[in-house]
Order: sequence, then structure tokens, then C-alpha cells
Amino acid sequence: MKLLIVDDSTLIRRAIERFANKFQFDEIRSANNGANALKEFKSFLPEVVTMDITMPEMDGLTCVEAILREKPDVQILVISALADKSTAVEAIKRGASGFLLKPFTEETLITSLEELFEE
Amino acid sequence: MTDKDLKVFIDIICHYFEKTTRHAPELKEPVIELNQFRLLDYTGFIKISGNNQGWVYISMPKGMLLDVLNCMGESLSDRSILLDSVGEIVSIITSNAREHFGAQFQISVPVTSAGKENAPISHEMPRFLLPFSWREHQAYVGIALLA
Repeated sequence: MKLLIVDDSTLIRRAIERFANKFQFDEIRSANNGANALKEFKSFLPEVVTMDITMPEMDGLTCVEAILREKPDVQILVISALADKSTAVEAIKRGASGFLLKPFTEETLITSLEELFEE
Repeated sequence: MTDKDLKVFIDIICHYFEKTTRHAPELKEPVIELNQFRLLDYTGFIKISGNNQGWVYISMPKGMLLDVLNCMGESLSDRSILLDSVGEIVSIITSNAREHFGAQFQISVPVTSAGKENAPISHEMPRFLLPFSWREHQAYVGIALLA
């Protein structure tokens, strides 16, 4: 199984990669904005994506829709600090499989990824 | 900016540091700053638009950022990761405030600076300063918002 991490922060990308190592993904790649994520997705074709929302060039929710057009069965976990309920609802409406609020811990990230796999 | 609005930011700052580092910060009395910025080693700024206009920023000494990264398990410590981190911290704190201010509290990607120069905010814009200590370090969050 392959994981694509999308976030404009190096700190967050590296934290997700460290925490997600528990799942023994075959390969983990990352992208720092929605536009780069879409390019990476097309060649990498991961089964799981973690997606930030507020990013330069292409925001995460637009990228969720674009990725799902490429591969409708991909599991996308949106990880954002935008704490208003409407943002989480919008993420799910656009096709995300889950929503995790920043700041997250190793435990909350692992729980969210496990919930994706249970689905 | 009401007392309730300030309390929202105080609670979010406490939650952020407790959750990510397991060490709670100690918030001090908010003050109003009118003239020159008091910027520490690394500062992250977020521009606010929508129903509110202005900026939120966090300014931290280098030693504090390094300690925060260490608590998070991050092994990098170069200037690039310090700038990235101070930007991400202010982005998370400000974005969490949307729970109180609503979806019309629109948030930019962070702008970061090292040192005391290059603040993107006018010195004439009055702002609330929330000084806080975390472990042995002193830092602050600045809020310059027009309703």
C-alpha cells in the first residue's frame, strides 16, 4: 500500500511520515501543494492520501476532487486546522473519507488512519 | 476585539502547546502595543480577510523553537525548518480560531521572518499582545484585527 502526504509545511509532512511508519506502507511520497500533489498522484497512484486544505497554488479541497476524478476509490484523510464545522462537512461532501483536526498527535493520526482502513 | 475573542486565542495557544509538546504555556496579561513591533528571532504572520481584516502573528526565540521541535520528535534544526515551523504554528493557532469566528474568518498561507525586520504589518496598526512563557522561554502572539 502507498501513501501520499500533501501539506505545505515540511514539519507536518515529516511528522505524518514518522507517525505513519507504524503502518508499514510500501512507499511514502509527499507534495507541498495541491498542484504538485496532483502531478505526483498521477504517476504514484497511492491508495491513501493525507491532504492539508490551506496551501498555495491549489487548495486541498480542490485537489481532493481532482484526485477522486483520477481514482475514485482512493482513501483521502483531510488534515486541517480549520476548526469550523462547515470545513469538515465540505471536505466530506467533496469526497474525503475522513477529517482530522490539527494539531494532531501520533495517537490521533493513527486512529484516523485505522478508521480509513476499517472502511 | 472583545475579551471573549482574546480568551479564544488564549485557550487555543494553551491547547496547541499542551497537545503538541505536553508542556502547558503560561499566559500573561494581554497588553496593547502601539508603536514598534517587538519581534523575536522567528515570527510567523497570517493575514486575515473576510469579516475581520488584519493579522495574527507569533514571535518566538530560536531556543524555544528548537525545544518545541525536539518535543515533537523533529530532528532537523536548520533555518529552513525553523521558518517553516513558526509559520505552521501560527497557521494552526489562527485556523483553530475559525471555530469561534466562523468560516468568514479567512486565513492566508503564512508569511515568515527571521530577526526584527520585514514585518508585513504597519507599525501604526494597534495590536493586542498576548505574552506567554513556555518552559523557560518567553514568546508572544500578536493580534491586529479590525472588526
